[in-house]
Amino acid sequence: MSGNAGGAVSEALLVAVLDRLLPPNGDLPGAGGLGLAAQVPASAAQPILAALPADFLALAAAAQVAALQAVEVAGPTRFHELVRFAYVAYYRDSRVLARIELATGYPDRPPQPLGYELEPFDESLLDVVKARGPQYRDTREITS
Amino acid sequence: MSGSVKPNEQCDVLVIGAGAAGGALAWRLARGGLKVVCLEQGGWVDWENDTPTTKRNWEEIRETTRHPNPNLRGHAWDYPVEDSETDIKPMMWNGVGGSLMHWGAHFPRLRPSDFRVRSLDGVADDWPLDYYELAPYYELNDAMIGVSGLAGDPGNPPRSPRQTPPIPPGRGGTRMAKAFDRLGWHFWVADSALNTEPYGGRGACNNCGPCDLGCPQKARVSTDVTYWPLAIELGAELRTECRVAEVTVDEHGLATGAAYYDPQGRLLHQRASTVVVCANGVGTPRLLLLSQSKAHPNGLANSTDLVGRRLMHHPTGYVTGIFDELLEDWKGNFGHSINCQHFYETDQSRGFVRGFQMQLIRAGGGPVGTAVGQYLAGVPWGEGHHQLFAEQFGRTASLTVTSEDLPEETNRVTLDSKLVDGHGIPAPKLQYRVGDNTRKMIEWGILRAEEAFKEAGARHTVANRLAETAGFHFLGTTRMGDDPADSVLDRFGRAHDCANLWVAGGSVFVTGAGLNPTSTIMALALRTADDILAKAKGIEVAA
Repeated sequence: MSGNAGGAVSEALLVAVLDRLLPPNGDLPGAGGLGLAAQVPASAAQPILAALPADFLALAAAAQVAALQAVEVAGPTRFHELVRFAYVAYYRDSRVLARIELATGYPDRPPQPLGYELEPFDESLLDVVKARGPQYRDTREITS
Repeated sequence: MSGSVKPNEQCDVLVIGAGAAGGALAWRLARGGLKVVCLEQGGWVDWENDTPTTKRNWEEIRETTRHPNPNLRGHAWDYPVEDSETDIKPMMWNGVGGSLMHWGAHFPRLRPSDFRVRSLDGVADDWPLDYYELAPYYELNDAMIGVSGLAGDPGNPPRSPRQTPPIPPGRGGTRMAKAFDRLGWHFWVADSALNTEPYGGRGACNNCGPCDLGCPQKARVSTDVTYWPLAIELGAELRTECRVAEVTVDEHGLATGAAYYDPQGRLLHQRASTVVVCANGVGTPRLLLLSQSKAHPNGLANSTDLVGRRLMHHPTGYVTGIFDELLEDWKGNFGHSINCQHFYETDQSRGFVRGFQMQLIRAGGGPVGTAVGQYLAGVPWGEGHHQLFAEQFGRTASLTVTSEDLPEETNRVTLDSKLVDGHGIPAPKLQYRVGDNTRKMIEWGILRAEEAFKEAGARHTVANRLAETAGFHFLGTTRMGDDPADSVLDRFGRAHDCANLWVAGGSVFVTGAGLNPTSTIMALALRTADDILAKAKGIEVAA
């Protein structure tokens, strides 16, 4: 039984769903807590929210996950559309990117115009291969 | 420099399509003194002001307005492709530069055996030319556009020093190179159509990664920044947003030009002494099949019923290795670094004929790509998401198993009976199934790729047994051959059925090989141009 069908997108409900999809990570809030609900189009959120049980917000975390998994199984394409929008919003957020930069060095900026250092090629990498003879079939004696 | 040609004035050569083949060919013809007009259904991209990788949402753009699949992108320049009956979906760009606008710039040449598969391995057909006949054109094209790499690969015939040094393989490439050495497998640093140093008036690569989204430095080759400026300087006229509806012919069946829609939607006609169709392995057969007449009732140059048939892709499996070490896989050209051709030649003990290459690609992309999924599946949502993301992001490398597809006449491009483009012109339909030999090859190759990653120390591997999205190369749909009974074009790309019609592009391939085709497409286009120039004075033309 679903209790959210036909109503306007509930922000509180979407926040809770986003927090289940992308939960808190250490001291970083989940996607809902980061305030990313506004970046998810209603057209992607509404069908999923409408399919959730009416008491979703009152459920324990494990039960919320189970409810979402049931909706995913029933309609994977539309569910994954919501997941995709959630991921795009989350991984474009400067707070999330700052965390990634700290962990990996991946800079919080577009690839261009700075790019990355183009290191010189170390030709010694090819020494073993160079020592081998030709590795292809010569066809000069074959006429079609 | 010649002035522009009005639609009702006859030009020497009408080129249809401004991509890899059309650009190279138009430059060569204009340089030879011919009056060239090119009709291109798309427009220009402004790399200096509109390169997606300068924007924070570049990964979203990659999945939407610059998606390589025209059906998902849906740009006004595109035509739809009916793809419900194909194992591999179409990826292409319709505009000046063609599909080079979103390519990775991997630039291998075919190997000599690729031209002699019937003689050597008893399958498919030999080409009507061999590697050594084409080699001077490979060299010319390399010099024109600039290729980074290193001559001396024992896996291929000798070639001239590359124009700029190789792209660095990065941490992942270095790991895999050492693993290949320990396994005793051949590899070499890839030839790449991008400048690692300034060349040809264009800038140098800054190792940013997503070459498929273009290059504000114009370091990555596409014909809009290489051949076309030179061709236009020589007097070639390039008309953009002009979609050709039909190649027109006279009562004798000779080409007279083309009917096309201009940007205002008006149906015009461009007269020409010679027509060259350069619209890739889908667009070219589509246009020839659309061009029906009394002289060519089955479509232009299609007396054999081979136009559109023998469609070949490069069916591709992927194996991705996940490492504990941070490989920084977001740095450097995404599409290639080193290239293993150890399993390229036929060994009957493997259970299939012909072979495959393994390109080492930098699979990660940015955070959105890692989460949503590119070469790896996306990271699942829920409690385990953050840990799995951390284990994958920046720590992967992928090997392709890029297989050689054998031509089958049931794999084909036809005209769809319902779907049309924005001008009401019937859309192409792809009917394509991966063959048994290819599937065996990919499965065997996946085992080798897994072996290589294990040797390199990957924590685990994930295999994609057939990439549905690997429809980048459309080959064979207007094949060359010496016998008019079993080929569409002669050895230079001239139609057997129509003496003033040539074709250039991947559609002319006789077999697909297992290597990226663009260097061969461009070299063949230059050779075709020289044939047109040689015949220009003596050719029989329409009144």
